[in-house]
Amino acid sequence: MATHDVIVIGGGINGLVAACVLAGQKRDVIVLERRDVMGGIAATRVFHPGYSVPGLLHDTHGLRESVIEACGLWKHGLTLHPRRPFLAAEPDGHGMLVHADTSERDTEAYARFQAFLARIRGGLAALVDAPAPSLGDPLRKLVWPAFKTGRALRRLGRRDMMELLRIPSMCAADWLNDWFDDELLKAGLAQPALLGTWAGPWAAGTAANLLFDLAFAGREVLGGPAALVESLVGACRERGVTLRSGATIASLLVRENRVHGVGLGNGEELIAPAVLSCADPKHTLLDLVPIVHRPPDLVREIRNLRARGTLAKVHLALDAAPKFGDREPGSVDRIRTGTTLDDLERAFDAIKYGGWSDPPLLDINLVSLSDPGLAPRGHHVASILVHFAPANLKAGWTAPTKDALTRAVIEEFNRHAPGIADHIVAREILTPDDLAAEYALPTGHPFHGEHALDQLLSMRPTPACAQHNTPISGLYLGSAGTHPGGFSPGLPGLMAAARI
Amino acid sequence: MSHDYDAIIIGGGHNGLTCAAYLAKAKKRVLVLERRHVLGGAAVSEEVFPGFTYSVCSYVVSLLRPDIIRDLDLPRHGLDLIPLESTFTPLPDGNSLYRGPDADETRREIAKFSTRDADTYPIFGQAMSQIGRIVKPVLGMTPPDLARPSLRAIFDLLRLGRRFGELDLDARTLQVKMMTMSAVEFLDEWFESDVLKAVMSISGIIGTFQSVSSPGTAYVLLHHYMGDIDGAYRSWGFSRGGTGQISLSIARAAQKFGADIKTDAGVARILTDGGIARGIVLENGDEYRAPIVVSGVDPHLTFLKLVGREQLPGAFVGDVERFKMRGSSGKVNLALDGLPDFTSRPGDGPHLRGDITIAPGLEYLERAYDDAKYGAFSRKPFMDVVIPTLTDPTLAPPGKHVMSIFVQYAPYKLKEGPADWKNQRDAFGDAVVDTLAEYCPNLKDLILHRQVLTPWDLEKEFGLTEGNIFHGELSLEQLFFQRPAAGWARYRTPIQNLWMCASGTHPGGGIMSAPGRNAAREILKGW
Ligand SMILES: Cc1cc2nc3c(=O)[nH]c(=O)nc-3n(C[C@H](O)[C@H](O)[C@H](O)COP(=O)(O)OP(=O)(O)OC[C@H]3O[C@@H](n4cnc5c(N)ncnc54)[C@H](O)[C@@H]3O)c2cc1C
Ligand SMILES: Cc1cc2nc3c(=O)[nH]c(=O)nc-3n(C[C@H](O)[C@H](O)[C@H](O)COP(=O)(O)OP(=O)(O)OC[C@H]3O[C@@H](n4cnc5c(N)ncnc54)[C@H](O)[C@@H]3O)c2cc1C
Repeated sequence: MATHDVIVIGGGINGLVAACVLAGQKRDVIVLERRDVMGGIAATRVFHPGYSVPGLLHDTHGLRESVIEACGLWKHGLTLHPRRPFLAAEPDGHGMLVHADTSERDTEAYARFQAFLARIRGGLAALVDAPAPSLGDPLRKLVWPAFKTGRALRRLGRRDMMELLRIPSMCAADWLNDWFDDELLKAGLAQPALLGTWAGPWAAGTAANLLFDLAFAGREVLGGPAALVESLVGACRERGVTLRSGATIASLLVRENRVHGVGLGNGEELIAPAVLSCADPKHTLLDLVPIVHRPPDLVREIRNLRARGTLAKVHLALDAAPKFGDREPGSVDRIRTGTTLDDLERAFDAIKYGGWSDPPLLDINLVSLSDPGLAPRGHHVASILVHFAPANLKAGWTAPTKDALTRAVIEEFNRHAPGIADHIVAREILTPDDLAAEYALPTGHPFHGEHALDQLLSMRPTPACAQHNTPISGLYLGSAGTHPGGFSPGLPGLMAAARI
Repeated sequence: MSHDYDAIIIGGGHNGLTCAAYLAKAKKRVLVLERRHVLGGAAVSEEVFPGFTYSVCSYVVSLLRPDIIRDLDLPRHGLDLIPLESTFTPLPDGNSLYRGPDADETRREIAKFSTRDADTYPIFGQAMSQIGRIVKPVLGMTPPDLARPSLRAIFDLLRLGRRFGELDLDARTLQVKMMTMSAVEFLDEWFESDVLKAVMSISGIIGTFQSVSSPGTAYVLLHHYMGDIDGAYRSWGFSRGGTGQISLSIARAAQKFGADIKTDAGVARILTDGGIARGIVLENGDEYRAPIVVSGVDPHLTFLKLVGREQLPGAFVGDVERFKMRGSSGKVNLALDGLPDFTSRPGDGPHLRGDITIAPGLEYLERAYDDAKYGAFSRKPFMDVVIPTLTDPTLAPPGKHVMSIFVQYAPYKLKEGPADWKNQRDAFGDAVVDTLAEYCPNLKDLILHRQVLTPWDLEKEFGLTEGNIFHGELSLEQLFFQRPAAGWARYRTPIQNLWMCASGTHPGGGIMSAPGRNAAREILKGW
């Protein structure tokens, strides 16, 4: 029986970050990953011979300096480049390019808005970078962190501080309406706030998502999520982490409420005094902890964690670059559809009744434009996030419904880039069900738990587990389902490692 | 300069009157000025059609603070609260859910839909009353000013924190969830049956422009669960003579302490001089001056109309402008020739004496909201119906009845613009009556008179900006230390000597009298 200091379950970004940090402290760490490759959702995916996407997710702009430093990623080929603009697209029009620092319309308000975000970044970081306070602690233990956060907030000055306290519980629409007149700009900006939510822009709390997305938006990783995984794997190797793929954990070994190892699907057992699960918390606590060792209160709480999948992915192999309006083909690589906040709201309405949004609301990433290696020469790859395609589709996810959604997505793409439908070489759709099966996300939720006010900070994933520990001693949690969530790749893993 | 009055109060709503009563009780000479011909604002009784007295706007009471009732000795001045004990939810398929004072019967009724829910129901009630007990004292406090942290603010926060500190982890978790979740998500953690969740969740959306699945509505749910009539948990009541009697009893108390009250006295402007309030000018040109002016109307009206933007700091004007009003409710009052007969529970019975709720399912409520989001009234609205004449026959001639129907959603901002309510009022009234008639087919034949109030009417007649029944949405960012604006939640305003005392301040709307009393306490502190 092999023995280690720490076993990390799941080789997603968070698992790799945690392993790398722990190994840096001279511990013997092994990462066990169920799939054949490391990286979890961020791993490269070949969806058709010769065509691949650099991970399912699009954005790496939330990556924090603290994660890069802790893992020494600069040494391992990590390169950042400025965030590219996105096109807030109009079906028959010019659309609007929105850059990190300037937009084509509402320019002045946008500059003021960005200046505001830059000012509050520090205060917000104080809130997010610190471990979540424990709701169970006696009051005196809560006073000091509250005081520290309060002090960081006060440095913002009265007006900004009060703004920062006001925004999180608002809806994204109200907040954007405070700043902007241009509907297209508001719709484009609001879209990321809806990623993986069960909410439209008029739902309270969505402003928090938008705030996190925007305020932490820094530079992007060149080569996307897959490049981040590659450099993490390099860093782990250098620090002596054992990386084992194709190793599915079937169960945790628990004795007298203490973890002492894991059992693999093939009957093999590995021993360690500490196990950090960077797999989905529901999967960890409801499937991997043996039933007799599951604390009933925790089971109730974790069942209540809302993680309703609402996101689908469509991958298209193209033999030409799409042309949006009168813009040069290949001049934009990020495109968001939906021209008004009401369009976004309507898209959400559909899932309340068990349908997908019609037309689908799309976030299109033409990944091959910046990384031509992802497709044969002259060809392209569109990686498309499809918002509001619910896991619990009333009609069920079957071959015909999957095909129908794919066609609806292509049609909507074609409405914005006329003619592109004739250039499709191959296509793939991943519904929330597929994500669940392939990536071990119980309900296909990208963040292992919705980002909602009651599921952040001291509540994520449950009050008893919000400090990355669990009621079972030796078992720690460190995936996106833990504080501070999926906003910032690797940050939960980093904090979980610190906790160990 | 000598004045006839120490304080002028603008608006004779129940909060303005409460504030007046407390100031007068402290021996201040007080003048209340009300624009309408009757007192009460949104807590008013009027004989709209001969012989039929309506609680025109608010129709049931729950949050009225017991200590205020005692302080002002309201029962002696005519206050008489009658408990309202049941909720009846008819369903389109002929089934129904009835929850009443008899726990066994309620259990059996819920068990028709889910035995698990029937078991959980009383436990849920206990959990809610526990949180209610913690939150309730907050209603009576002046919010700390987080914008200018002072020793006192820190002290206030610590005091609040200590209450929280006394709870165990489960109770704390529940409280945090309550403050952040949607009504439906919150109830999902407890219950499984759609009908029960639907009817319980509606308390979370009363008066808001949110759906039952919008985060933050769980708190409003609590707001509606904190009431205590006769000390009983979550009890609602009627006021004999209509809700106007509540206002009138407060007015009588104020008068007994020496306050002067004038009706038909609309204030046109608040007089200021160098950033200090000096008095008011009435619409008829009369001027009254006093060292203290208290506004009992909503923040938009107070600052944007009566004070004027130019008198105020720009940032504050911005705060007031973005304080969400957004009316979403309407009211239909009917005079009936007899009692309605519900298909799912024919005949007379206790189910008619309580609350009758048309909220047959969560999807129904979502669709009602979706209509409103895009600027139309709900074709199939949520309705809260009461027939007060069954417990208080004085409101109608013998054998006749009044029926009060509270309706959501009726968005102030129609697609065609708010003024189009004038054209859509009747269609709205028809949609309400038609929908209700699906559950009690004899309704249409009973109707003698019909009064339809749209948000537009609430604004024009009752001075509720955008028809918002609570003087501003009860959404999280508009509560406590942010109501109506951060830094101005302690009843003071940027205009020296001008104070606020109505529902646009902490703890918000509803017949509660707490804003009026809290304001009086703050005013008297420096006096
Ligand atoms: C379609 C999609 C789009 C997204 N877009 C973005 C975006 O644009 N920006 C952004 O910031 N975030 C995005 N996300 C979210 C982001 O992917 C996650 O927040 C983050 O990558 C999660 O990393 P993780 O390491 O916590 O989990 P994962 O990447 O899910 O890793 C968990 C790993 O554990 C493994 N595992 C599970 N169970 C077992 C077991 N029993 N034994 C062994 N191994 C196991 C899994 O195979 C997996 O590799 C997106 C997610 C999805 C699904
Ligand atoms: C349709 C409806 C149904 C409701 N149902 C319930 C319910 O069942 N239970 C419950 O608890 N709450 C209910 N409410 C809410 C509750 O009635 C209000 O929150 C509460 O009555 C407001 O009291 P207030 O004193 O703060 O303000 P208001 O009652 O609005 O008083 C303001 C007063 O100022 C007067 N005024 C306005 N402008 C001027 C001016 N320029 N000069 C002089 N006077 C002026 C107005 O005429 C009014 O009398 C309902 C409200 C509405 C509209």
